[in-house]
Amino acid sequence: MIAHPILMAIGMADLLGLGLILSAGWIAGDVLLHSNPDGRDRRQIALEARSERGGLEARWGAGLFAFSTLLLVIAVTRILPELIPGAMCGTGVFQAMQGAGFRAFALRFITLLLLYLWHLLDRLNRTSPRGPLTETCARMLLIALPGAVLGIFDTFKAVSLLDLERPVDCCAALYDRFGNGNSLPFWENIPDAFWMGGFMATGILLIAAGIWSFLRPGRKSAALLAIFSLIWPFAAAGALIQVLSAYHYQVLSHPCPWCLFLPEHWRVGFFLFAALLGGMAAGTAALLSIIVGQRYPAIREPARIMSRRASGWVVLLSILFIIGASFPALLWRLRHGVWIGG
Amino acid sequence: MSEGIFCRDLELVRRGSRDQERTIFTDVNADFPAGNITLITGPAGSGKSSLLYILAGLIRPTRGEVLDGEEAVSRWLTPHRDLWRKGVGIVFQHFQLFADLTAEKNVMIPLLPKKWPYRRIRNRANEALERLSAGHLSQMPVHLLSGGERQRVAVARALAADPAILLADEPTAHQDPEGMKIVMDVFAEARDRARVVVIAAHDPRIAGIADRHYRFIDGRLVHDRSPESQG
Repeated sequence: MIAHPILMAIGMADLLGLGLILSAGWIAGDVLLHSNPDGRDRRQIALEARSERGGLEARWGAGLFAFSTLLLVIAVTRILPELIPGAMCGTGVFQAMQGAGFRAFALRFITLLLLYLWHLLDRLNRTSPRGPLTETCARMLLIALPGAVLGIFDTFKAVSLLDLERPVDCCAALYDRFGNGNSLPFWENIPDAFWMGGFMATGILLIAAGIWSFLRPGRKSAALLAIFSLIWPFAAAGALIQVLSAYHYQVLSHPCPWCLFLPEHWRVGFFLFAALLGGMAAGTAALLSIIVGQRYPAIREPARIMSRRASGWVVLLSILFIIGASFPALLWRLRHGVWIGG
Repeated sequence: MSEGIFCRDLELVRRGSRDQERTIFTDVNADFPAGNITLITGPAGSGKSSLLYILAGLIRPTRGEVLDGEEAVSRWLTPHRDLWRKGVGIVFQHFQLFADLTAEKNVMIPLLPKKWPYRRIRNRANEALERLSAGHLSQMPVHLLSGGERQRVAVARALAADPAILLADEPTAHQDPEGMKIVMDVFAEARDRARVVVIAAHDPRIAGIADRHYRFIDGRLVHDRSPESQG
């Protein structure tokens, strides 16, 4: 366990956020069990007031959870590699965390996506005076709640495994995989051309679906956008790590996502991965808005506007990602006349 | 414009520490139609002011609802209730004026959300003060005014935005007969413009101009239909 201030800040933000999300979750459970919007008895009126308070708590809780996740990314990419012997980037830190780190990150990002969708529903709910989505919001919050609990638990577990005395071998973790071809994960064997083809094809389809959904927001266009916005991050991240990262690092091959967060590479990883995750969240939000808007006429128009806005964000973020990820490759090609792999 | 505000099964319970609670009023069913002045009377502590605060959307009842037309505004989400409240003018029993600001600036405050040009807001504020015969006080800081003058400034502030619903808590308590007539003329004008006017008061002089009269008796609001209570 390392008692670094950033880890303490993460712990504090996590505990505060979790407390608020649990309290909001308790209220959400009460809403689902006891809400009767047609009644005007004491319990219902009190529940309506508590439900508004619960929404506020969940907003603050989600904000703190997002903030602590950002701090965790900063800690893993910038601060902990300097403390853990042998670690040069997040890869070494994850090695030191012995698997719990990956689980914590995965759970945190899934939870953030769910909390973002809750936030979207909550915003839509608040566009109508009687809050027709109150119960839907309560359900979504309860879906996100276990992810928050487990994500925070795994973060504590991962951080407690960090040891300043036990060295790691950052690059060995990366390159040892190539030493024994049999143990390579399947994506390491996929040819570069396939990655780049998938990246460009899904990118073009995503942007086209985004423009369609922006110009004509509807269930079909939003569904297509949501599908591509869920496929695209995998294709794009694969192309970035397996092919394009070499141009960022200016070496023949270095398939490490974490080095993109280092200052010598302009910390471009923050921007690129934020664009990917943001695009994925916005694409899902575009579809969710349309679905709830069609189900609840009171919020149809704000839902349509929100879906349109989310579609616009997908287009913008994917274009920014493409530019940010491929610019060093194009620059290399213009300077040297060949691609890095020949 | 509001058709009127209507209370359905309203109850207000105040809670203290250690499970102490006090029922201020219960089962309040009342109609406050537009184009009428409705008077609410009752002994001190009977819940007149609390009922006005509930009608104004400032506090929530513990049971029941307040309807504006057919919309249960008391159960709206807070941001929507706050927007609805822009159409409500209220005269507080203790005025709630900014003591260091001038009368004019106090009256200008509820007009600021309208985002009108400054000159228009100022003119409207001065018109409201004139209607209350308080134009000469416009540049005076409120802390230099007497109780009666402050009360007229408070009435001017409530009227300045020409609200659809006008609520007044003891609006004539500090008025001499002349001031009383000025204030009541203003409420009568609001009634003639089809506004909802609700006055909570002890002052028996108000009964003369009220169209409807409710009385709090033992925590319940009773419609007083006796001829002497009708204007």
